[in-house]
Amino acid sequence: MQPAPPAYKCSNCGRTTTYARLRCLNCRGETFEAAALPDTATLLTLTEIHQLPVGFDERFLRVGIVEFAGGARAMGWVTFEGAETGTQVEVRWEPIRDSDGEPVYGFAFYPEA
Amino acid sequence: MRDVAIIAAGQTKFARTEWPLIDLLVEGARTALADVEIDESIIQAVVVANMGAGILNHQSGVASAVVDGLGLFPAHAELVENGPASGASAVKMAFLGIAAGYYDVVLVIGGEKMRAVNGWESTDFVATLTHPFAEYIYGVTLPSMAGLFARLYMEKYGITPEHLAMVAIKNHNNAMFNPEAHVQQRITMEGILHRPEAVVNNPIVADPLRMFDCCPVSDGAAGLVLCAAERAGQFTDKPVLIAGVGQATDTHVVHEREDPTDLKAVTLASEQAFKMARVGPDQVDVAELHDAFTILEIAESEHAGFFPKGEGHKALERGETQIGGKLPINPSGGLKARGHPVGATGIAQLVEITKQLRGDAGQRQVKKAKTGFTLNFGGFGNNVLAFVLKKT
Amino acid sequence: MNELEATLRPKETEQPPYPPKRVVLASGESMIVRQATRQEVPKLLEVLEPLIWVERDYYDIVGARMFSELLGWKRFRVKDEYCLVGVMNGMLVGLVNGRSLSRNIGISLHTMAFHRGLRVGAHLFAAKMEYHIEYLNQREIYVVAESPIGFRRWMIEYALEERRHVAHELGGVMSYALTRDLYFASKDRLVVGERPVSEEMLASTLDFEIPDPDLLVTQVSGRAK
Repeated sequence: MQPAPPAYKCSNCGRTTTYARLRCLNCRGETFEAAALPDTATLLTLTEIHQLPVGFDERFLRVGIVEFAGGARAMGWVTFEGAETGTQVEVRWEPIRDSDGEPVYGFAFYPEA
Repeated sequence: MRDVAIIAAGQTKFARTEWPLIDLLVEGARTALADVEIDESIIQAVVVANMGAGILNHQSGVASAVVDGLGLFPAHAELVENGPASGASAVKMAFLGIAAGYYDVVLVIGGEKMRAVNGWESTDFVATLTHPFAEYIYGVTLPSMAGLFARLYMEKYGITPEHLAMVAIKNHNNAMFNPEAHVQQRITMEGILHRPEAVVNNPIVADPLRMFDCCPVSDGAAGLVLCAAERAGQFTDKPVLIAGVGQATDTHVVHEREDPTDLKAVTLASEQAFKMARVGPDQVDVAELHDAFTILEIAESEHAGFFPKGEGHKALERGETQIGGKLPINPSGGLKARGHPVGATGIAQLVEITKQLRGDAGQRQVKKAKTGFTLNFGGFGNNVLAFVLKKT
Repeated sequence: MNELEATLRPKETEQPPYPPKRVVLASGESMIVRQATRQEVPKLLEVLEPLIWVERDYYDIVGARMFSELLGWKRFRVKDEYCLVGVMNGMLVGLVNGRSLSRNIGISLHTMAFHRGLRVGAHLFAAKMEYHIEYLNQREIYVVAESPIGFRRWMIEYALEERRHVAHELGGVMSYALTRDLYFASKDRLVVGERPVSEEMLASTLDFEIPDPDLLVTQVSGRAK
């Protein structure tokens, strides 16, 4: 089973981010609780990157930003063709690259089933 | 607070160079020092802007090395690293030192030697300014951050690829009259967009942005000599006053911004600079904006207050931002064609406006320019500096 | 031709010519891509010679190899070689060369652009691939690169296949191959240009000028003037 995608909800104001922070962006609160993210989200924007940095040998990569119900957002790889702003996607948290042989997990967006 | 003036300005030709970083920075300083008759021993401090020496050139202690290269001992020396806004930040630090009365004369130099590495390594270097876990791991590049932004901005305001191309064509044309520009090549709408050959001539970099929507990777340096305004007359007949300085920051992770199409830091930095200068955007005669990507020139021209939101591309269409238009933007060629050695850019923008206000800009001179504006955009809009300059 | 010279000369295979094409560049200017003649080789050598001493980006190796390949072609010491030139406004802006290893296999030799910022090299490399696949009707072309920039550009843009058993004749390094399938899969985004080229336009390329050697070296090396 894949681990659940990370989500950190500020115990004070409820703002949720999809990466760990020491202080809340909204209220500077410093305590967070784990939150569950919905399995699907809406693609806010995306791009197909053709001039990739060192470490990538693909001809191109698609990267997008999604918004979950509740307002949390995440960047991740768009794994399919034909996506556009507003497309509903299935969100997975999976190994996207490796670093010295160790998997690096990240968000990946799939067509909604 | 004392008034501060620019008494000398210069830049190297932006290009690909074989010079080591420190020599490049020293040369940038020499171009500025050659612009004024000054006893160099009165320079009390050297502020150096550079973003990537550690990564690109495997060098630290850059400011001390530059002072050594110039032989300006025992002048104070500091390095300012603030991403692609390092140049403007360095000028701000020098400005503060003089305004506070601690210094009278300060040399500011910014430079970058980006072509020390190949294209995909320099792309990676610039990408290190993104958030390591929320953005960088996905292979994002600065062009891709601009691509994500451009898609939204274009959809929201009805901006077309032709509008982006108009920015590129204008700035390439302007650079034809700037001997220091990196790219001196006219381009046409036909060649970059409408002909079948455009797929090869102007390939996608990060859609919707294509090659000619992106600035080149450049080496280069630029320098200014700043002086307490009350003493400027000793050195030059044409000092240029730093009338307003503004700065603002925004979230590191771009998607944390409530409205990702809102470049809030651009608005705030510009407002602050205008307020301090006691002028409004409508009084600006010439502007240098941070067009690392064509979409940014349009978006910044709106966020800085020159045009209402969604109107920048229409002003562009009407030719208002060309030399000879109502508000010429990037007469130097901008980052797009002058080039973008990241640490040098914010200073090069001020060099251009200084020349424009003095009437020294040659064939690209904007007529009767009295008030100028610069905007240096760091990160992807997370640290922005604006300056208002006035002819004295 | 005496008997010894006949022995020393590789036997040339008759090849269909590369039909010239016109490519409109980003500047709106036209570049004509056409086959060079043996008689033009001295002019090409004149352009390449100063680059032999530029270490940056392996211009020295590429320049020296291309120099010797073209010289070898001119003096009948290389089999089935050809060279395509790009000419814009009567000025040579780039050249590519290659040869046939056999009826089915092409060898990509080198690509050199003398005008920067207009993707001259990308157009010329594509023209070379076009020649091998569409006019010489070959099955595949062996490609390698001396410089990391060239390697990354060609290997990634064309998604070339590895040929682990083939040591390329340029230095014996493992070959990559552009197959017919790969070529046609990427043709739409990489191979462009119009045919036929008018007689007048073609004539304008015949006595082309060559770039100033000092300026060229300054440009490619980044050396201060």
